[in-house]
Amino acid sequence: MATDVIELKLPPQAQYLALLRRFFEELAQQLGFPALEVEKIVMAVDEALANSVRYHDAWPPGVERVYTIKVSIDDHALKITVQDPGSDFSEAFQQEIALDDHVGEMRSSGLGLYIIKSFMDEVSYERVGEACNELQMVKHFVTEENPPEHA
Amino acid sequence: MWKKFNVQTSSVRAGNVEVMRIKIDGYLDSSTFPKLQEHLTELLQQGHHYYLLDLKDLDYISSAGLGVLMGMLRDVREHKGDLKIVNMSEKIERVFNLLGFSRLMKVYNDEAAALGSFAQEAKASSDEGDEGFQ
Repeated sequence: MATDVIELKLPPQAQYLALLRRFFEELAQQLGFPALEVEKIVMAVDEALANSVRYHDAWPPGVERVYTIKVSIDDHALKITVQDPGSDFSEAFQQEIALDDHVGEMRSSGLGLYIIKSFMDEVSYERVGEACNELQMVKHFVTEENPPEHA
Repeated sequence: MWKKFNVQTSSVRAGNVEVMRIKIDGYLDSSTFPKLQEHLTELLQQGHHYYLLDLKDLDYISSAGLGVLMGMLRDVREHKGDLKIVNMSEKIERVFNLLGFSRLMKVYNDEAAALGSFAQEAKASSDEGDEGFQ
């Protein structure tokens, strides 16, 4: 199968997140992911998009007020890439979050990146070009070689 | 029109405790969490420290929504109060389990049991001479 690519450009407004969750839920279901994986994909992508939206006030003046979602589907995986012109968050991305400590200390923020990293199979972050964040999330299709986690 | 989100609050008596029963419907995400946070902050400032959250019609919760609940739990427990949950859907329960929230917040299947536990804990605390209850 050739790679299908879908590209969405959106204004950084949180009101669109519910709509996008519907889109990714339907897409993941159509691609045959098990129900739990569909929920994980939706949550991880929602967190990534919410991150782009939340910090858009810090985008440099003069840039186009949009962020981009690229969805690639091939024989092996669903790949979602989120690009925005926001501030570099490589430091936050590299930090390991200990869930037990986070919950035990009842911290009220910082769970978003944990959800992204733990709910997707592969996650990478790059600062590309002059000032662009690129967060890439991959979920592999369930096959005999790649059985579901809780099979 | 955009925000499928609603919060309804009522007050209910459980023994000697006044519990704020809060029904949260729709999506609790980064778009809607400020509304809940503002509401809960107002209730805390009014001196309410016992909360029962009814999540029967909560369709989605993101880290922003979970953060509000976590902050609230921390605040009420600092005041020797508590926050409990009733009527959680399977979907939301899975999120709580995946993220370890289940071990912090008590979840009940029916309201009477949840209110009974508030009353019981208040009585036990009162018997110990704790001044934290009203």
